[in-house]
Amino acid sequence: MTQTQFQVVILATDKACGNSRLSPIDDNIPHSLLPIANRPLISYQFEFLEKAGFETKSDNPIIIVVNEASEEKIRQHVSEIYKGLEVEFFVLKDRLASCEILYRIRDKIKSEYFIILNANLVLEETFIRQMADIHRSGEAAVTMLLKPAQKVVEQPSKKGAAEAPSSSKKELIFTDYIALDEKKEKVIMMEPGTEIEENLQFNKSLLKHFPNLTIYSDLQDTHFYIFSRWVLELIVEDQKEKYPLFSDIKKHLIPYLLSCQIPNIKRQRPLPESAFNLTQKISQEMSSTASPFNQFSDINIQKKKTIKCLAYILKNGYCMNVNTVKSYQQINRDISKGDLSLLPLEPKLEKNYFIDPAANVTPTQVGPYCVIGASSTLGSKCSVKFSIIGKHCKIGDNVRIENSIIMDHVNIEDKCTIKDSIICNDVFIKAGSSTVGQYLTK
Amino acid sequence: MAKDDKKSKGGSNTNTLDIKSEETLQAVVLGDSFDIKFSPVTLEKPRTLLPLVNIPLLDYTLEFLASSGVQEIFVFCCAHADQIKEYIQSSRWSNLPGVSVKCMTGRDCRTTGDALRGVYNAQVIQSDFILITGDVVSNMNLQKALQVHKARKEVDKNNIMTMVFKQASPTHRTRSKQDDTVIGTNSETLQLVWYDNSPKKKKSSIPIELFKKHPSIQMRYDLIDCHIDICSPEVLALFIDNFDFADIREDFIHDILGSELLDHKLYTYVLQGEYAARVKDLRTYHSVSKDIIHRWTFPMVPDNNFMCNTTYSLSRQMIYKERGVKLFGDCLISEETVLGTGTEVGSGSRISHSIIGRNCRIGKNVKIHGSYIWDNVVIEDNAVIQSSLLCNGAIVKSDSSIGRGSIIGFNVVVGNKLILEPFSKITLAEPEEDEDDEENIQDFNMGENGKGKKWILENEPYNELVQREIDEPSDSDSDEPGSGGVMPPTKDKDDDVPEFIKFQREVRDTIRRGINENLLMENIQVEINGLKFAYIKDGLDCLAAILPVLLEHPNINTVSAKDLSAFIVKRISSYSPLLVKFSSEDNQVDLIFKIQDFCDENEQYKSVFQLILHRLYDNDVISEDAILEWAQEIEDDEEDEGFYLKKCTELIKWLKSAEEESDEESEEDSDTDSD
Repeated sequence: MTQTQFQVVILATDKACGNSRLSPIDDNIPHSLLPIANRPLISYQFEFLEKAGFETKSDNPIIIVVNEASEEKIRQHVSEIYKGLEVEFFVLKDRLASCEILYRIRDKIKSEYFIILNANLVLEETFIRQMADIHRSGEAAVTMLLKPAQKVVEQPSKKGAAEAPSSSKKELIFTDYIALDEKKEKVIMMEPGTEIEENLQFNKSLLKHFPNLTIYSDLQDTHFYIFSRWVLELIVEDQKEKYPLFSDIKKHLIPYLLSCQIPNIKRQRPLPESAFNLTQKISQEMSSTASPFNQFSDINIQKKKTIKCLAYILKNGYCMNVNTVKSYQQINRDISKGDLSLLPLEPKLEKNYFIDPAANVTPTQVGPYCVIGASSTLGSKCSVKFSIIGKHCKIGDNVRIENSIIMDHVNIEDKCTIKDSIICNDVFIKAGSSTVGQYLTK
Repeated sequence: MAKDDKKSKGGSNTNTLDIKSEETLQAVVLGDSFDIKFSPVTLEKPRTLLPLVNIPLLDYTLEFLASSGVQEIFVFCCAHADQIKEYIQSSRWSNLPGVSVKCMTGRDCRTTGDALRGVYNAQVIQSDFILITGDVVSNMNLQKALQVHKARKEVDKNNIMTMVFKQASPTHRTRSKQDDTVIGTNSETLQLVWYDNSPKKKKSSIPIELFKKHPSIQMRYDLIDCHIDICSPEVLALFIDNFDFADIREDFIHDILGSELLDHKLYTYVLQGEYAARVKDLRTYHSVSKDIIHRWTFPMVPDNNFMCNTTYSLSRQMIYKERGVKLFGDCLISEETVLGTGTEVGSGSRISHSIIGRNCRIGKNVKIHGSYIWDNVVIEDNAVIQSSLLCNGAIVKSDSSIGRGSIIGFNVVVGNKLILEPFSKITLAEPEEDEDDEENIQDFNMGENGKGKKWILENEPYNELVQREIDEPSDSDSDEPGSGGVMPPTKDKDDDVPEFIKFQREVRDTIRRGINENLLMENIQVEINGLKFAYIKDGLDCLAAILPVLLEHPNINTVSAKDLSAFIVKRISSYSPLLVKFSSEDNQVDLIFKIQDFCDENEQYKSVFQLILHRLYDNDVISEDAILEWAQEIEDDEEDEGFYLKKCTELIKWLKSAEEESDEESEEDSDTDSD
C-alpha cells in the first residue's frame, strides 16, 4: 500500500498531548517510552506505521516531535529497531501547544494530507486504508478516528474490583459529547466532558443546518486525525496574527473547523482558497452555466463555501489511548494476553506467557498472561500471575506478584506481596512488605 | 363542570361498550384549543368549526379518524359546545355506520388538563386511545403507529404514550413559528428523553445527566409535532393525580421526563411522506390551506368531496369550482382559487390565490388576492382585498380597501370608501360579561354605513395570516430565500423572480423606511447586513442596491439641477457611514462602474455623475486610487464610455495634482484628503 499522499506527524512530547493522567508513573519516564508489556509505547506506533505501509521515501519522512530530554532515548530506540522507516526528529526545547508545533514544522509537511498521531495511542492498522479513502473521497478538512467506548464489564472478575468505583468520575474527563449527522458521517459538534458542567448547550442555528443529529456520549476521540493540507495554511495564517485563535488542536482548531461546516457563518479566520477544492468548483461552474435559474447557482455557492469534517468509527481492531493509569494497566493486560496482532517482544511459550530466554525463571512459577523481560531473576517459591516484569529485575524468594506491572531494574526482596500495583524503574522493595493497589516510583 | 350531564352520558356509553368487543378503538377529539390564536373569530365560532378550504376543520379530523378505523369518537367541547353539538347532529357524522361520534361537554374547562380530567370522569375510555385536537389534518396510517405503540407496550407497561411527529425541515411552512421544538430521543429505542419548545431562546441545552441512561441521544429539529398522541388510559389517570397539569406538552411531558420516581416512558413515531399538520394559528391556517389546494392531503382534497355535501371539481391551475358558480363577463379567476356554490363574481373582477365560500356576491372590478372569504360574504364593486380573512356574512361596501393580514369578523360591514390598515381586526362580537375581552374591543369608525368594532389585542407578529414586514430583524438567517416560513402573498407570484431582484427590493424597502422614519444608521446597517447574508451577497451588491435608493429624488423629472445637487450632497454625506461599512478596497472600482450603469439608466443623473463621485470620495466611500484606476480602465475602453471620463476630467485632474502635491510636500491636509 502506498501512502505517499499521507505524511505522519507523531506528537511524542511529554505530557503535552491530550489530557494525560498518568502521574505518578510517568514522572521519571518519558511518556512515549513507558513500557507496555515490556515494549516502549512508541514502538507500537512504529509497528503500526510499518504495517500500514508508510513508505520509506526520504522526501516524505515521518516526523516525530519530541522533547529535548527524551530525544536521545527515542532516537536510539528507533535506530535499533525500525530501520525501515524514514524518521525525522523535531526537537522541542520548550513546551508548545499542538498548533504551535504544527506551525513550527510547517515546512516539513509536504504531502497533500497529513496525519496527526498522538504518541499515547496504541492501535492496529486494519482500519487505516478505509479511513484514508473516506478522507480522500469525502474531500474532508479533517477525518477523526472515533472508537466506541469499551464496555468496562469485560474485565476478569478478580481484578477490576479495586479500581472500578473510583473510575466513573475520572472517566468523565475523557468523555466527549460528539454529535454526528444522521448518516454518521459528519462530525457536527464535539464537546469535551470537561467543558460541560450540567447542561450541554448548542445553538439552534446549528440545528437548522443539521436538524437531525445524534449526540453520542459513548464515542471516544482517539486523537488520531487526518487533515488536508490547507488546514496547515489556516494554522500558519492564524499564527501570524497577533492573537492566534488556535493553540490546541482538539480544543481550538477542531471546534473551529466544525463550526465552518455551517454555510455563511461568520468566520474569524478566513479559510484558504484551497479549502474549497477543484471538483467542487467545476461542478459549480457547470451547473451555474447550465441552469437558467439563479437560485441553483446560489445553492452551489453555498455548497462551495462549506467544508466537511468526517468521522470514522472504528469497527474492529485494537485501539487504546494510554492516558490514565487505568488504561495503562488495561493495555498491559490486553497485550500480554497475546491474542492481538500486537505482541510483546519476548517469545510466546506454550502456557500463554512470554518469557525472555535470557530470564532466569522457573516457568512453573509463572501463570498465564505474564511477560518477563531479559535478565530478570525470580527467587524460589515465587508466584507471578497476570503480571509483567521488566528487564534486569531481581525478585527474591517467596514473593507473590499478582495483576501488577513491574518495570526495569526493580529489586524486590523476599516474602513480599505485590498486588494490583505498578512498580516503576529502579524501585527497591524491602523484605516482607506488602504492596496492594499502589503506584511506586523511585 | 357539568357533571350531571356527563354522568348520564357516561352511563349510556358504558352500556354500549359492554356489548361491543374490547377491541373498540377509541379517540378523544379536543374540540377546544384553550387559546386565543384565532381571536376575534373564535369569539363567535369554535375553532373546530372554522372552514378550512370551505369545510369545517373538525370534518378533516373526524374523517381522518374514521378512515383510520376508529370506531368510537368522543368530541370534547368547551367553548361554543352547542354549536359543535348541533353541527355534528346535522352532519353525516351523526349516523355513519361503523363510527359513532359523541359529544361531551365541560363548560368550565379552561385547559386541556381540565378536559382530560373530564374525559376520565366520564369513564368511557377502555383501552389505548387516540388523543387528537379537533384541528388536525392528516392522511397518515394510524394503524401502523398503533401497532408500534402496542408492541412497545407489550415489552414495557410503562410505555404510556406515543407521540406522532412529522419530518419537515426547520423552515417548513406548515411549521408554526411558535413551534420551535427540539426533541431528543434515545437513538436506539426512539424513547423521548428531551422536549424543548422555547421559540425565544437561541440556544438549547440538555442536561448531561441524561447520557447516563441514554448513551446516545438523537436531537431532532426537523420534526413537527402533529398533536396526535396514542395514549394509554394511564395518561388520563395521571392527569387526575396531578390536578395542576394544564397542557399536555408543557406540563405532562415535562413532568414525565423530569420525574425520577415514576418510570413512565414516552415514545416518538416519526412520519415520513405522510401528511399531518395542525391548524394552530393563522399562519398555519394559511399554509395548511395551501397544502390542501396542492393536494398534499390527498384523499382529503376538495374535489374528492369526502363530506358528500360538496360538488367540487378541479380545473387547471389548481382552480376548484363547485357547481353553480356564476362568473360574469370578463372576470379573471387565476391559480390556487376555490369557489363555493352559489357564488357570483362580477365582470372585471380578479381573484387569485384565494378561497371563496358559498353564496358570496362579488361585484364588479373587485380585486381579491390571497384571501380567505367564508360563506355569504358580499363584496361590492371596486373593493380591494389583500391577504385577509372575511368571516361569514361580512359585507364590504364599494370602493373600500382592506389591507393585508386583516380579519373581518362575522357580519361586519366595511363602509364605503373605507381604507382599512393592514392587520386590522374588526368584530361585532359582544364581549361576555365574565370575560376580560371587553377591554380588547374598541369603537372604530367603519366608514359610511359601516358596522364593527376594533379588536385591539395584537397577535404575536409571527402569528398573523401573513408575515409582518420584518418578522425578526435580528435573526438574519431566519428567512432563507425560497423556503422560509409562509411567504407574504406577494411572494407567491414572486417565486420566479431572481434572487438579486428580491434582494434589491428588500434593501430598497429598508433604506426607504430608514429615510422616512429617520432610523438609526446602525439599525439600517444591521438589517442590510442581515439581507446580505440571507441572500449571499457581497458588499458591492449592497452598495449597488443602496445607492440608487439614496439618490432617488421624489420628483426627479421636475427638480432643478441645483436642487438635485444639493439633495445628493445631503444624502451622501448623511448616509456615508452606512456606505463606508460596505465599501472595501476591492469593490470600489466596480462600484464606480455600477454608478455609471445607474446613470446610464437614469438620464437625469448623468449630469451629476462627477458630483456623486466627488461626494463619495469626500466621504471616504471610494478612494482616490479607485477613481484613478477606474479612469485608467475606461480610457482603454470604447469611446462610448468617454462621456463619463470627460465628465470627471476636472475631478481626476484635481486628484492627480493633489497626489503630486502630497508626494512632494506631504502636507497634512492633502494627506487626509487622499486617504
